[in-house]
Amino acid sequence: MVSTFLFLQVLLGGRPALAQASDRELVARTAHGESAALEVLHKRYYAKLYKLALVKVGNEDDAHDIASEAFVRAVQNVLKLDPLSSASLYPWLHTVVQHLAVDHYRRAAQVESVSDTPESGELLSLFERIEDPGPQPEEIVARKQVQAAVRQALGTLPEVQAQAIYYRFIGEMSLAEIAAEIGKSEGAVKSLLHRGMLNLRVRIREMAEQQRRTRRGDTGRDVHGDTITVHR
Amino acid sequence: MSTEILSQYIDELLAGRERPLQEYLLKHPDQREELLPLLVGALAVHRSLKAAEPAPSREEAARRRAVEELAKVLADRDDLTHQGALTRLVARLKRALGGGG
Repeated sequence: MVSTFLFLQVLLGGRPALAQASDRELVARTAHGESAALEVLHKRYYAKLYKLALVKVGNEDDAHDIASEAFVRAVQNVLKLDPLSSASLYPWLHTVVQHLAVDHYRRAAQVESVSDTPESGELLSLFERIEDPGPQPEEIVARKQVQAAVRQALGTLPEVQAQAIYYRFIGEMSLAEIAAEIGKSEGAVKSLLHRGMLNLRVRIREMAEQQRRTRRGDTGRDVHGDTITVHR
Repeated sequence: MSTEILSQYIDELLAGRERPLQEYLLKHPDQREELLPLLVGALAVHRSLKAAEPAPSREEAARRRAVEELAKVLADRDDLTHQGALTRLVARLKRALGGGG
């Protein structure tokens, strides 16, 4: 169907500019050997995949490796992906990045501490000091350490909330697109985003508390005696 | 209601229309307490992801790798077509006739 459409477009000389083409069309053109279409998809999604991977693994080098590998997987599957079942290729790539990030952690068996987070007071400021004479939220969120801490906190959210946030902020998908992708209503997606933001606050508070304890020389154990660590 | 406002705020952020947070909160004074952590959270997520841009050299290397992979995939696919089968048949005939290849 898509191929016929493409053929007619070529015949009529009415092919749209690649940069404006839909993902569905770009996948079809890539499957027909048009590397320029693949390059448009790469430009459209590489940075998004890198950001998602960075949230997942917390390391720039590994995030690049994962984003690159995700694209290679897309290319290897391009003949099966055509015709693309959803309007956007992003959800498919998103899932691949998630799997690659899990593989990454299985290999590394890594449990990361939160010792590189910013000052705990600064973290708490993010949500609690808007009316104080201290820094405004805009100034606080502009700090690199705070941004890194937020990405770290995102990695600890419940999966369904995190997915909605990633689709919205990284994939820049509309509420309707997310709803279709995860099989929920638009209202439910809004609710997930709402709960995700509130949970982010809780996570950041926990990170700040843990950091305070660590700086005081506490053992870093909770009331049950379990070591408090951030698992990705 | 706060869920709706959060949703609109995210829309504005993604559209590149980032207004001062205080100004936005003043529009909804009755819900300020509830909105504050939501909007600050959305702003923090937006800024932290926006700031994490990939290194151009790594992006370019990844692009080249993807294009090379596409060439391999298409070569493998073409080899399964009638043309590929014909090429293999000719090669086998040449070998059978002692013509090398």
